[in-house]
Formats: sequence, structure tokens, C-alpha cells
Amino acid sequence: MAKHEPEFDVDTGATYGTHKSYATGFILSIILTLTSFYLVSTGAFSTLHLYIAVGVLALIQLFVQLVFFLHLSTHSKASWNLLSFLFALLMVLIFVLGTLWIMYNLYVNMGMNAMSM
Amino acid sequence: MLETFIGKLSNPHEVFPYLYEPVSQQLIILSMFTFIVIGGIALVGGLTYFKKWGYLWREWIITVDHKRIAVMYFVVAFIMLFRGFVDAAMMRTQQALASGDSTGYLIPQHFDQIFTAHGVIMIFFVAMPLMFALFNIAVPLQIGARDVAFPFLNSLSFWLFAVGVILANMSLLIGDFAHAGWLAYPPFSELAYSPTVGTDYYIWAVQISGLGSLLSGINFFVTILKMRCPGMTMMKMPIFTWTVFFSSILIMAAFPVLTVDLALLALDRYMDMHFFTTSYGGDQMMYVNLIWMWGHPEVYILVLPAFGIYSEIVATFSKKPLFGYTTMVWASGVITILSFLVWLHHFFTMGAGADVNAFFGIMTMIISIPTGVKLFNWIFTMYRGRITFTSPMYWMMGFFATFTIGGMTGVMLSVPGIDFQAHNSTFLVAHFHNVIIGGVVFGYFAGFTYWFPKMFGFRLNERLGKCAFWCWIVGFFVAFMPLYILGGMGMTRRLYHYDASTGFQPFLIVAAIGAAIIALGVFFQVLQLIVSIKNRDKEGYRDLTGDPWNGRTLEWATSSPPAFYNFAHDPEVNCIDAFWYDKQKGLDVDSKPKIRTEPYHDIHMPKDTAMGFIISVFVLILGFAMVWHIWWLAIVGVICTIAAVISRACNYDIDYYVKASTVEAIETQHQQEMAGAKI
Repeated sequence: MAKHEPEFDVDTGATYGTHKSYATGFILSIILTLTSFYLVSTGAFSTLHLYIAVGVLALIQLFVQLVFFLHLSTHSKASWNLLSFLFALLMVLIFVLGTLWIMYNLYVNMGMNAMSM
Repeated sequence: MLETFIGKLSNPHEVFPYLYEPVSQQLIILSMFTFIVIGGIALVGGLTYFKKWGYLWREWIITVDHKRIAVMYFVVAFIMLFRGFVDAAMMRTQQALASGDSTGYLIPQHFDQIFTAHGVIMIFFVAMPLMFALFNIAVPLQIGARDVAFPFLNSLSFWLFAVGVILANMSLLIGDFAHAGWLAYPPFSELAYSPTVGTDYYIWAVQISGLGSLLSGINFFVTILKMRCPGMTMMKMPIFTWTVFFSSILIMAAFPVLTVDLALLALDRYMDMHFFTTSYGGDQMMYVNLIWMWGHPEVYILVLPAFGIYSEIVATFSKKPLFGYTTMVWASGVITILSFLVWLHHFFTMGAGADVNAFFGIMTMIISIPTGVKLFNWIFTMYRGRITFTSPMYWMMGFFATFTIGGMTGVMLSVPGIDFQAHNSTFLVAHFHNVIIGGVVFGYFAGFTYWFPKMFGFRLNERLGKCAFWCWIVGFFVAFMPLYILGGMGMTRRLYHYDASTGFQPFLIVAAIGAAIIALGVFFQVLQLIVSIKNRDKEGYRDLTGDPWNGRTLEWATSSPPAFYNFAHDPEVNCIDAFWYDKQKGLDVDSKPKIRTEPYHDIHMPKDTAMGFIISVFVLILGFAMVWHIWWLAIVGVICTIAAVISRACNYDIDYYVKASTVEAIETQHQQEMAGAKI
């Protein structure tokens, strides 16, 4: 039955989710979350490495959710979704990296305590 | 006990601070009170006497029609323009007087509130609503749509904006307003230095109207992407629609930053957190960093649509296609991205290193390149055009001169070394008024005059419009050129009093005279409205054709004012300025578009709804309760707001069909009027 329906939403161009894709996304998210908790609980990593590991896992999960739940795809019909996502990503990068750069530069130049960084 | 029930309202010092002030100040407050009370009585009395309450409710308050919402935005914006202008006049008078032994006629607390209110009102409650009014009146018509993508959301946006206006102006009557400048920099805006409700009024007024702006940004972004008529690809859109598109992107990217920043400040003030305090690890520069991350794009949010308006006007009144359409689109796109890379130029002096300052200085200089491209495009459009010197054209040429000067002083300020000298001086004040009045305000006035016949079906008086223009531009230069000089002499902005030996006074008197000339311009604008409304049925005013300027884009293809469904048939386009070429296919330039004879169809339209208004009333209750620390009422406000939103979301009875016979009746009547107009 599913084969005869359009694969894309006529209005948004986004792909329709299937039970399988939602289940995959759900299970992947759970695995990634549990892994983070596991890493913290074992204490096998040093603090810095733990930050990095959890950060990487969070990023992976971000993409899992974008693809499986928000139906982000590179298909041409969904190009607006992808484009606006990339734009949002660019904005976030500018905001976050710009702020880190500016504030770090301020702390260094003003001889402020970088503890609150 | 009393405080639990009515929060800070139990403290008369907070509620009526002016009772404890000198008599001279009380007289000023009293005259303002009298003005508001008389105005209020006249309004309520008039509505009751003429039995217009039902009309107001049915036709305006619950409407989701983008054209009506545009009119409401205009009305509120012009009322607020009056208030903002009165603030400006008070500041100019104070500074012209307060030299040496004289301390002027205001006390410092009032002066500080006035310059704060002036900035907040002019940007949030004048420029933004004027912009949304122009979005609303022009965009759906230009792209051949029946309404915006989310008509209810549009109504909600307007009413949320209105809540912001009400909260900001309520501070005139009870409590005080913020005195920390229009962006409320901490630590001055923190509880320790601003313990009164003023800053809370500021936070909630800006937050709530900012939410409305964000929703509008989303609305117009989707409208432009999804609602264009058949054949109108992106690169065939009118240039105003393009600039609205970019402006909406900027709104969506920038306004959340403002929301977060003000929310953090609110947490500092309400929950004793320390994001921006000077102690406990707080950092006030983070607030400044975030606020300008919104604040700089905001400048381009305002000015890009103005650029779009100039583009429409210059093409229409030069009777030529816009020179360099594609470069215009790309220049707007480049400005959109670059506007996110320059925010630090607002705080070069905070103490960052040379690398940071150099990067943002250079980015700021680069942004003048796409802007320059636009300026040359407009000039080349006029070149060898058959120019009609109407008042929108006047505003446009005034903009050329004024904006170029403002742009050049901007490039001066973008050099960090110069900025270290000129920052916080009246040179800066002169610069940003130069670009905002010369760029944004002139553009919106031009757009207002240009689209006025589309809104109301009659033209504004040209002669008075030109008088207003001359007063504005002369007044502008007389008012702000002295501020450039004063900035060079070392006068800081927001100065309450200065020593006679500084020699500031003569320049400030000239500046005050300039403000008076602008006031004359405002007077001519009011007169223009009155005269035009009075003569609206006369020859030269009434627009029966729907195309009073011999326009190029689709909004002129329908009647003035358009029927509520905008177009009886979905228009189709196959090129830029399709309407113009349709007219060209007729024999002469003034020939009307061919009357289509296909049968009419039922038209799918959104139903009016009071929910936008009702939700906003609850949000107003929430905002008021938060300002005055009435916690139980705030909880009631939150619950009612959420309940109202859910009830709206569960309502599926939101649309209806206009019968083809109704459409036919309206269209036949319009065609008869048009035939009568041909003569």
C-alpha cells in the first residue's frame, strides 16, 4: 500500500517517516544516550576526554534525530529543508565561535580570570 | 499580606514615583495625563456615540485579513511615532537649555527615561510596525496570494506587538520606565542599580513584541516560499518581496538571540542569578555581545525592506525595469549574511585585541560594497528614464543624499581607531540617525505614500506630501549636522547638563531648531492625511482603476482597495514586472489590463478569529503581573495563555468558501467603476 502513496509531502517536500525509520531513530537515540551515561558512570575517561566523548555522542544524536525524526534529506524535493538547516548551522557556528573568540580575546587582553570561561 | 495579592502595586513610591518629585516635573506629568485622559475620553466617547464598537470588533479586532492588519500596524506606528517624537523634542529642548547654571526643565531621572523610551519606541514600536505594515499590505498582493500563509498567526503577531506597546506606555501612568538606555546594558539595568519596575516594563514590552516580530518573520518567509502565484519563480519576484524574504530570514535568525539575552537579564533581576552582574562570575560584556548579535542584523531587518521600496518606486516612476535586478537580489543576500559578521563594531572599546577589532572593522567596511551596488543600480535605473517627480520619488532622492552621508560616517566609525575617539559621542548619534531617518524612515514614508491608494482607494495630496518632505530633509540636516560637530568637540551622548565653557550650547540650539522644522514636517503629514481624506472622492484623489501610478507589479492588477480575497482569479506571470508587460501588450501605456472573462470559482478563505486578540489579552495580564511581581496573576496569565493556544489548535473550523456568485457581484461592480474611470 505504501508504495502507491507519494514518498514526499506535497507541501513541504519532506520525506514521510515509516514505522521502521522511526524505530531506527528511536533505538539509535537510546543507544547513544545510554552510551553517554555509561561513559560517565564507568569513570574510565579523564574529565577532558569525557567532555569530548559526550559532546561527540550528542552531535551524532543530533544528526540521527534530524534524519529520522525531522526527515532531513538531500533529496532535491526537500532542498529547502536542507538549505535552511545549513543556514541555521552557519548562524549557530557564527554565533558560538564568534562569541568564544570575542570573549576569550577579551579575557586575555583585559587580564581577567578565565575561570568563568 | 497586601504584597502577596498586588505585588509591588502596594508600594506608592513604585506606583506613583512622580508624587515625590518637584512641582515642575509634576506639571509636565499632569499635562501628559490630561492629554491621555482627554484623548481616551474622546476615543471611547466617539466609539460609543457613533455606535462603532461592534464595527471595531467585527471588522478590525478579529480580522485576519492582511490588508486590515496592515492598516492597524500603521495606526499604532503613527501614534507611537508621535510619542517618540515628543520624547525627541523634550531631549532637544533640555539640551539646548541645560548649559552652565541652568539645569534645564527636566530632572535627570526623567531625562534618562525619555532617551530610553525614545530609542525603544522608535525602533520597536515605530520602525518595526511600519515595516510589518508594509510587509502586510504589499507582499501577498505582489506575489498574487489571497492572504499570508498563516492568517491567524498574523493577527496574533499584531496583537502581541500591541501588548508590547501597551506595556511600554503603561509606564507613563503607573510606575516608571527603564532609564538604562534603549538596550538596557547591565550592570546598570541590574537590580542593584535599577531597582524600580522600569527595566521590567522594558524587558516584558520588548520580549512580547519581539515574539510577535519572530512569528511575523516566520509567516512572511513561508508566505513568500509557498504562496507565490503560478509562474512566479523566485527570480521573477518583485524586488520588495525579495527584500522582505531576506528580512524575514534575518528576523528568524536574530530575534531568538534577543529573546535569550533578555530572558537571562530577567533571570538576573527576578531569580538573583548572575549572568551579567559584576560579581559572582557574571560578565556584562556577554550581554552586550548577545544584544548586538541581534541588534546589528536588526538594522538590516529594517533597512532591507526600505531598499526594496526604493527599488519598486524608482522603477515605477522612471518607467523602466529596475537596473540590475539580479545584482540587487544578490546584494541583498550578501548583506543578509554579512550583517551577522559585524556585530562587534558596536563595542570596539570593550577591550578586545587588535585581531578581533580588525576583523570586525574590515567586515563592516565590506558591507558597504553591496550597499553601494544598490545605490548605483537605483541611479542607473533613473538614468534616461522618464521620471515622474511624485512625492515617493522625493523621499527616494532625499534618501540618496542623506543615506550616502550616513553610510560614509559609518565607514569612518568602522575604523576601530576612529571609533575609540568617536564612540559614545553625539557623532555616533548623528551617524545612526543619519542612516535610520535617511534610510529607513524616508523609505517607509515613501512606501506609505506609494501603497496608500492600494489600502484606501484614494491618493494622498502630493503638494502637502512634498512640503512634508522638504521640512523633514531640511530639518534633519539642521538637527543632526550640529551633532556631528559636537561629537568632534567631545560631547557625549545622553548628556543631561554641560558646562557653559564647552561651547556646546549654540550647536544644541541649532539642533533644537532642526527638530522644530521636522515637527513642521510631521504637521504637514497630518494635514496631508486630513486634506486627502476630506477630498477622497474628488478627481485626482480617488483611484478607481487600482493602478494609480502606472505600476509594474501585481498589487496594481487588482482594485484599490482590493476585495478581501485580493484576486478574483489567480494571476499568472511569466516574467519580472509581468503586469507592466501585460499593459504594454495593449496599445498604449495607460491601457488597463485585459478584463478576464472566465467564469468565477469559489474562493477558499480563512475565517476571522478573536483568538489572536484573546491570547494577547492573557499575555498582557502575564506581562503586567510579572512587571509588578504579582505572582498568582502571572500563573493565571500563563495557564490562560496555554489554554487559549490549545483551544485554538483544536479548532478545525477555520476556513470557508466565498461563493462564486459573491465574487462575481463584487467584480462586476469593480469593472463598472473602472469603465467609469476611463472616460
